[in-house]
Amino acid sequence: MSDPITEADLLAYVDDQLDPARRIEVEEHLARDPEAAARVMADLKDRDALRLLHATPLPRPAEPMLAAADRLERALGWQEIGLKLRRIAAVVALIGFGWFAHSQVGLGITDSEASPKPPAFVEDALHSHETSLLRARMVSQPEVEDYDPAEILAETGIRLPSLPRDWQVRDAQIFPSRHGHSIEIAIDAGDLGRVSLFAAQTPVFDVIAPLPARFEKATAVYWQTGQLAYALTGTGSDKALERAALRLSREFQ
Amino acid sequence: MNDPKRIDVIGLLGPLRRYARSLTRDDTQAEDLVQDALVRAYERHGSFRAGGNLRGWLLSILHNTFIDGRRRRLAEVRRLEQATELVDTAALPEQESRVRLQQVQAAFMSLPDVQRAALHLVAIEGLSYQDAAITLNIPVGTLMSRLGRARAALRAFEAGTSVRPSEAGRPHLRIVGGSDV
Repeated sequence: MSDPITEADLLAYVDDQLDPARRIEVEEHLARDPEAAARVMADLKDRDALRLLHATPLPRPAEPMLAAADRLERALGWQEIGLKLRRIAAVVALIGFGWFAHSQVGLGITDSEASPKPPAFVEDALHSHETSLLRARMVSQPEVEDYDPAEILAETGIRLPSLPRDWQVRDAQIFPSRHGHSIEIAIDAGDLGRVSLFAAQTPVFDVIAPLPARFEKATAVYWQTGQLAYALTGTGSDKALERAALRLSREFQ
Repeated sequence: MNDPKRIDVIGLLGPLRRYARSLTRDDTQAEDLVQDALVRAYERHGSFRAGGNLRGWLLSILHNTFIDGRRRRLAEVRRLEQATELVDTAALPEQESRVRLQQVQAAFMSLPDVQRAALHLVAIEGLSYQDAAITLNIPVGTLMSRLGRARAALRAFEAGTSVRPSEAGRPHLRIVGGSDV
């Protein structure tokens, strides 16, 4: 036996506060000490008697007591919820601070980078838009106002949407592109001003609803239907350009 | 047993009322004490640590309410007659055991307040020494010495002898458990 059994051990034995190993040591001690055993048994009996005496069911609490208990319960409940909310608020504040700090330091992604990176053909569209503006300025470069979508489709496999009636085609050019041909159509588009409709073949089948891509000098709204990619480029208002692009893109749906 | 996370004051009314009865030794005063303790708990509900031991917190408030109140002196006057009344209201087994139980109850009710409170929390409510000591706001050693004296007094009462206060002594200190050990 390691530790001698003390009065405190006997007390704790009666109150069931000992770990099993110590209980066994106490019981070994009691087996050899009848006087202590008798005392412990008397204590156990008193304890059980008290428990039995106080186990009698109590009458239903009076209404004011139930009301007071209920009020306290709700107050404590709200307190718990309040604590949870404070914790959530703290987390939100931390995230917000991180966000702020991140963007201040410049590690975070900026807004324009956060929107999807436009596919390569959009850049082609921008270049051909600039080329068509150049052609329009140059007297030695005659514009071709004959616009024959059926012929273009037959020769290049590129299908072009029919244009709104008030749009005037000023030029139509076929360019070589990364994946076959591309078409650049320069248009006087009423309120939108001078716009370019660009269409090209792409290697990847995809369906993209019209999305704007803003560049320094112009905005291109691009979309893709299967293997054909389109872009409407211009300098007019973004909203109007998007609306126009949306109308054109719907023709193939 | 109880989920300590859940706020269930109604479910703790039983332990509170039982403890109040042991403290006041009077049914009516016990009910008033619980009521007062609930009001006091509401007033200082901000002091309850979320996720803490609600039973211990409420028992402690009840105990302090009892200590502070005048009912303590009032209760003293009515001590013995109430002790027997309590037993009469209880539904108890056979005649012989009934007499013995009445003796235990009478002995329990004749204990000094501090010993009765300690014995009630540990023996009847089954609190750990740690929790009971926290509830009574006393060191564990003090709690154990009160328990020891209370037990010695009960044994002496039944043996028909009186116990000298020093007889049980202060038990050798040994921490034997508790919720945070």
